Amino acid sequence: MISPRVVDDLEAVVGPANVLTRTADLQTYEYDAYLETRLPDAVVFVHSTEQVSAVVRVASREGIPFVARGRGTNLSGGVLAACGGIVIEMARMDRVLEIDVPNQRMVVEPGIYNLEASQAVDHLDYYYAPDPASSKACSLGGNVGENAGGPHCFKYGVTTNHVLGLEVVLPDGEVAWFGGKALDMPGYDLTGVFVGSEGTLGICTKIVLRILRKPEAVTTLLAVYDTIDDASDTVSAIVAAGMVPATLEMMDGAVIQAVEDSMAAGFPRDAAAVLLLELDGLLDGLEEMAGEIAALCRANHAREVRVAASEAEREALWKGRRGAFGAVARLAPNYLVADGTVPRSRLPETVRRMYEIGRRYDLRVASVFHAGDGNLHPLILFDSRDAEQTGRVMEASMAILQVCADMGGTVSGEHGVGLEKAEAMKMVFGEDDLRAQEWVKEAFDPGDLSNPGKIFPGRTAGKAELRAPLAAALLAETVDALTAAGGSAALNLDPPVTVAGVRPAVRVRPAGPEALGAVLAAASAAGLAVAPCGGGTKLELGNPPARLDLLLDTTALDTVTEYDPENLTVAAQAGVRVADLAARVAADGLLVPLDPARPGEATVGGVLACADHGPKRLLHGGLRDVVLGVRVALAGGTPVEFGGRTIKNVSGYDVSKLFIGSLGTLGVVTEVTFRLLPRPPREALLVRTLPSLGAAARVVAAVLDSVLGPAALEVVSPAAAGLLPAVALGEGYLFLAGLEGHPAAVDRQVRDIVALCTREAAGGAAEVVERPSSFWEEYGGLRRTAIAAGFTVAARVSVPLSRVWAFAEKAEDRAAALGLDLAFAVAAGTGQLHLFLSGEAAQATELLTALRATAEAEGGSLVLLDGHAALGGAFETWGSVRTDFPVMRALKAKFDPGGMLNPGRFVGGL
Amino acid sequence: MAAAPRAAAPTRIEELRPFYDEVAKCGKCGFCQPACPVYRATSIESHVARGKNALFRNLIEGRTVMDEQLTEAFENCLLCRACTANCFSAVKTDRLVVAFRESYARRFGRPWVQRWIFRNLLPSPGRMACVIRLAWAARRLGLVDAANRLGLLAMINPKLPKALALRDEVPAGFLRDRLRTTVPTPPQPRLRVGYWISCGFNYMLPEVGEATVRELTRQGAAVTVLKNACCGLPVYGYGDLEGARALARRNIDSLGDLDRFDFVVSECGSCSGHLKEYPGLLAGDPEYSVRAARLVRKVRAFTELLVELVGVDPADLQPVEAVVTYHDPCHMTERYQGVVSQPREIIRAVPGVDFRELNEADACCGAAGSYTVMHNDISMKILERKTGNVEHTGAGILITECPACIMQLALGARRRGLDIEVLSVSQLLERARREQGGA
Repeated sequence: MISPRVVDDLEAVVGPANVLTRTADLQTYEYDAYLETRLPDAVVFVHSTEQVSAVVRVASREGIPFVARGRGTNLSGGVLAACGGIVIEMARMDRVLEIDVPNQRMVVEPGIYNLEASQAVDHLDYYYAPDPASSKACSLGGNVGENAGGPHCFKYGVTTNHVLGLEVVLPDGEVAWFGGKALDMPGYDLTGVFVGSEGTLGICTKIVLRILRKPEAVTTLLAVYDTIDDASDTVSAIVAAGMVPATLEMMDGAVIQAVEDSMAAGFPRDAAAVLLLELDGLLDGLEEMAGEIAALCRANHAREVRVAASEAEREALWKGRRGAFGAVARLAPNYLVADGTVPRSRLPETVRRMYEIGRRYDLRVASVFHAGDGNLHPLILFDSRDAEQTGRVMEASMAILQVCADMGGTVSGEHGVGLEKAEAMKMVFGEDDLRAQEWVKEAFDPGDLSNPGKIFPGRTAGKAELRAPLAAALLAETVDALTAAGGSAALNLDPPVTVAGVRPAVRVRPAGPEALGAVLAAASAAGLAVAPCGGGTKLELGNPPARLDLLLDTTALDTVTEYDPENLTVAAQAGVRVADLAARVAADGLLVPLDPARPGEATVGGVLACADHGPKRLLHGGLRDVVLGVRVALAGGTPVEFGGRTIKNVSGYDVSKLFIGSLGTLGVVTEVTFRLLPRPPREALLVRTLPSLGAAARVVAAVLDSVLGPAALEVVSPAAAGLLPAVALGEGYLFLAGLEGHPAAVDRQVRDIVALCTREAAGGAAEVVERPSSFWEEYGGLRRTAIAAGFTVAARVSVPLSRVWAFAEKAEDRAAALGLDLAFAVAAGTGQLHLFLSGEAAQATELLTALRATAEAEGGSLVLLDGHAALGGAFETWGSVRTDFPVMRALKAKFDPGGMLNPGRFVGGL
Repeated sequence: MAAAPRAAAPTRIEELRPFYDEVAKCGKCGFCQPACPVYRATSIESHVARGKNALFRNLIEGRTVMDEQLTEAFENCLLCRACTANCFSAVKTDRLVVAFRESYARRFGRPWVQRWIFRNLLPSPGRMACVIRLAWAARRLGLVDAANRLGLLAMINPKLPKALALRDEVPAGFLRDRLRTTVPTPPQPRLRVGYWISCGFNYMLPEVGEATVRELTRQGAAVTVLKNACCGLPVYGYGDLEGARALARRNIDSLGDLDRFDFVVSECGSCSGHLKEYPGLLAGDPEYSVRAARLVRKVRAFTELLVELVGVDPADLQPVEAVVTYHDPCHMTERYQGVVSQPREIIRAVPGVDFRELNEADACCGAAGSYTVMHNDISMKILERKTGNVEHTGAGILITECPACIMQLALGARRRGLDIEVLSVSQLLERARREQGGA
C-alpha cells in the first residue's frame, strides 16, 4: 500500500485526476497480454519528461518500485507491477516531436502507437521499419523496452537497429540523453543496452528513430508445401542464392486449417506449411528475382506458387496470414503466443519437437513463424478459466523454450523475458553471465526500483562476487610465464610498441581464451594495468593510458569457432583477422558486413573495441547492427557471454552493445558472433568528379531522398583524392557511390545517380568500376596513406548527416586561415567526416577545438584518431562528457572496479 | 482523491454468469485500444474494452465488488462496437456493458428522472412532445438562461445545461405536426412506405425529416407517417432492457398491419439500426420475436432503400458544387446494419460534388445518445479528433444520417470555427433538386 502522503506528493506532480488508487481502477492495470496479474498500488498518468522525473524522484525517495506502461500489449508480463508500487502510464505522451527528413530521423514520445509513428511520415514517402504484429496497438516506448521485432526484421532488423537516441529518466529521477541524431557518440552505447532492457534501467521519454525511404516496389509470393522441411529448405535456398527478402513468413498446417475454417483464404487443407515471401526494393530486377524465388520454391517441392500481380492480389495473399490469429482465436477461448528462436536450419526439428510437447501436455498447438529469423510463435490453445490447463500451458511453453535453447537458439526472439521467462534465462546463460548482466542493472538502478522482479531468475545480489575464475594450475603457470625473464613465445619484455605514445613493460600473447583469462586474473591480482591489443592498427586511438604495464595480445585467439552458413552466422575469436574471416565465408557466397581500415591486419576484436566502420555501413549496418553476441574475459579473468547466435534475440540485456567501441575498458572480448549477408550478385563503384562541396551536398541529398539505396556514399576532398591513385579522375571533389544488388538494379542506380550528378555539374568525368573491392581496400587505408604522406593528425567527426557539409566547409575555411593543410573524406550517408591535418601544433589544436565545439553544438562529436604526440598531448581524444556520463562511470566501476583495463584512455578519463 | 472504503467483500455476481463464455474470450491483447474513441481520448484502461472485460470477469469470479467504483468504467462506453470489430475473438463488449448497466441499476436503482423518462415519457409521443415543447418554450422566453444562472437546471440534472446547448435555435414546430399537413401522395405511387419518425429529427431537426419525406414522395412512394414512439435505443443503452422491450412491443403494436407497407423507412441510422436489433432484443418472447422478425424484413435505412429499389439518377439532379464528405453513424456501419456504400453512392451521384473520403469515417463522433451530455469533456475530445479529420478533407458539406451525429458534428464545426454545413443525404438531394430550374 502507498501512504496517503505519497499519494499527495504524486497528486502534487500530476494533479489529482491523474493518480488512480481505487481498487477497481487498479484492477485494470494488473494485467498485460500475458497470463498473470499483479495489482499495483497506484497508477500515475504522466504528460511530460518533467512529470516522469518528478514522479520517479518521489518513488526513489520513498523506495517504491515503479514500472512504465505504454499500451500494455506485452506478452511476457513485462509491464506488470511484479513487486507492487507505481505504474507510470506513458500513453498520453504520444506526440510526434520532430520529423527531420534530411537527417532521416524522427523524434517521438514513447506513448505513440508504432503504426501511427510510421503513418506520420507516410506522406513524405518514408516509414519506420520495425513492424511488430501488434503495430497498431503497441507503443514505441514498449517497442524500445522489448526490442520489438516483426515480419520485416529479416531484411531491416529490429527496434535496436532503428533507435539512435533516447531521452531517459534514470531510476533516481535524473534526466539523461543517450545517443542522438548523430552516430557514434563517444562512450558506451547506452542506447544499445537500454533498448530491450524491459523498463528495468529507467524510463525513456523521447525516442530518436531512423526513418527509411519507402521502397519503390514490392512483390509478394505465396508457396504451399506438404512438409515443413520443404518450406524451410526453400528459405535456405533463397538465402543461398544471394537474395534478402523483406519478409519470410510461415504458417503451419494447424493454422492453415483454422484460417480455412474461418475465412476460406484458398489454402489446401492438407498443406503442412505455407510460406509468404515479400521482396522489396527497386523495380529493376524485382520481377526476375520473384521468378527466381518461384523457381526455388518449386525446386523445393512447393505444390503451388502464387505471385501477386497487383495490390489487390497482394492483399489477397496476405489475407490468410493477417487473419491467422483471429482464426486460431475461434478454436478455443484463449491462446498463449509463445516465442523462441533457433538457428534457421534447426527449424523443422524444433517444430517436430514442439508438436510432441503439445501431445505430451495434451494441448493443441498451432504455429506461425518468422522463418527468415528462425523465430517461432507457437499458439497454445486453452481456456483461462481452467487453472489446471493454464498451468499446463505455462509448462509446455517452458518445454518449448528448452527445445529452442537445446537447438542453439534462445528463449525469446521478440517478446521479452519479463515475468514469464525469467527462469528460462538459466537455459541460455550461466551464473556468471547473469551476474555480469546484473552489474548493468546495478549501474543504472542501484536501488532496484525500476520494474524490479523481471528478467533475472532471482537476483544474485548479495551473493559472492564472481566465482574464482580458473583452475589454480593454469593461473600459476601464467604467473610463472609473466614473471619469467623472456624466452617464451607468449611473452616479451619491453616490446617495441606504444599505446597512444606509452610503452608497456611487457607483452603477453596467450594461446587461447582460457590462458587470456588467466593472464587477466594474474594481472588483476598483481594490480597491473592492461591494454588489450589485436593487430595493433588502432593503438593511437584514445588518450594516453594513465598506467600501462601489460599489453595483452589477442592474435593467438585466431579460431573461427562456429560457422553456420545456412543460418548466416559466424563466431570468430578476437584475434581472427577481418580479411581471413571474409575469405572464409566468401567461399560460401557470403560476406561479413565489416569493412574496416586495413582488414589484412585488423582483428575482429580490435574492430569491435574501436568501433571501426567503413563506407558500406550505410547499407550493411554498423557493428551494433551486425554483432549478435560476444564472449568476454572480465577484468578478473572470468569468461562470460552475452547475446547469442540467433538473428533475433531479446533474452536479457544486450550487453554486447556496451563492448562495441568501449576500447577494452569493460573487459577483453575473446569471441564475436556476427550476422552474415549473402554476397550481392553484382557490385560496382561509381566515381564522379564534382566541382564543389555544395554540388556534392545536393547530389548526396537527392540520392538519400530517393529509392536508390546505395551501399556507400563518400565524398573526398581534392587533397585526399590525390592520395587515392586508383581513381585519379581529375580536379575537384571525388564523389563515390558503392552500389550492389541485382545487376539490373545496379544499372538503374548508376543511371540515376549519374543523371543527378549531371544535373548539378555537366561534363564532369565519371567512371564505373566493376568488382571494386581492391579500391575499397585502398580507400580504407586512407588514414595510413595520409599519415605516410605527411599528415600528422587524424580525427573523426560525427554530426546529423545534413550538417556534415557546412561542417566540412567550415573546416576548409578555418584550416586555410590557420595555414594548415587539410584533407578529408565525408561518409555522406552516415554524417561522418574523417579529416587529416598537418601544420603547427598550436594552430591544429585551435582548429580542432573550434571544430569540436561546433560538432558538439550540433549534437555530434569530434574524436581524435591519431596525432596525440603531434599535438603535444594538448588535445583530449573524446570531447566533453554528457548527461549520460554518470551511468558510464557506474558501469566502468562495476565491470572494472580496480581500474586495470586501459585506465584513463576512454571518455571522461574512464 | 481519497480511496473510498469498499462496502463488502466481493461476491460472485450470478446474473452476469451467462456472459462468462463471452468475456473469457478476451485475451487482453489490447487491439481494442486504438479503435476505441473513448480510450483514444483518455488513455484510461477502464475506458477501453479490455479494462471493462477484466472488471466484468472479476465480477463473475467474485474478485471485485459491484459498487460505485465500477460506474466510471461502464458509463464510458459509446456502444459503438469498434472494439468488437478489432478483436480477434470478437468479444461483444457492448453486450457486457449493457448487462452491467442493467445489473447495476437493478441493485442500486435508477435516478427518478431517468425512470420517468424511460417508462412514462418515451412510450408516449404525446407526453414527450409536451415536455419538449415546454423546454423549448422555456428557452425561447429566456427561462432556461435564467434557470441556468440560478443553477436550477443543474439541480434537476447536472448535465441538463449541456444538453440544451446542443442546438442553438429553436425549431419551429415538430416534424410530426409539420408532416400532418404537408405529405402529398404521388398520383401513381409505385411503392408504399411507412415513414418512421425519429425523436431526434422530430424534436430537433424537423427540416431533415421533411426533406426525406419529400424525396420519398418524389421517388413515387406513398408515404404514411407512422405513429411510432421512441425506438428504445437510449433505454437499451442505459441497460433498461425491460423498458426497451416494452417500447419495442409498443412500437410493433402501433405499426398495425405490416402488409400495408412495402417498407418501413427511417433516415435516422440509429432508429433503423435498432429496429433491426428488435428480434434479438425480444428473443425470449415467442410472439413478439416473430412479429419483430417480420418487421425487420421491411425495415430499411433511407439510403439503403433508395439504392436498392429506386436509385438516384444524376440526370435528374442539378450540380451542387462543393467538396463533400460523409460520416458513418455507428448504427449504419458494418458493426451494426452495414449500410455503408449506399450513402456514398448517392452522394457521388450528385453532379458537381467532389466527394472526399473522411479519415476514420466510421469512428463514433462521441454523441452516442446522451453520452455527449453525461460525459461532455470526453465527448468533446472525441469530437475534436473527428472534426480534425473533417477539416483535413477540406469539405464544405459534411453528410451524415443520424440526428445526434448531425448536432454533434455541427457543434464540432462551430467549436473549430469551420465553415461547414452538416446535412443529411435527403437535404443534399433536396438541394440538388431545388437548384433545378434555378430555384
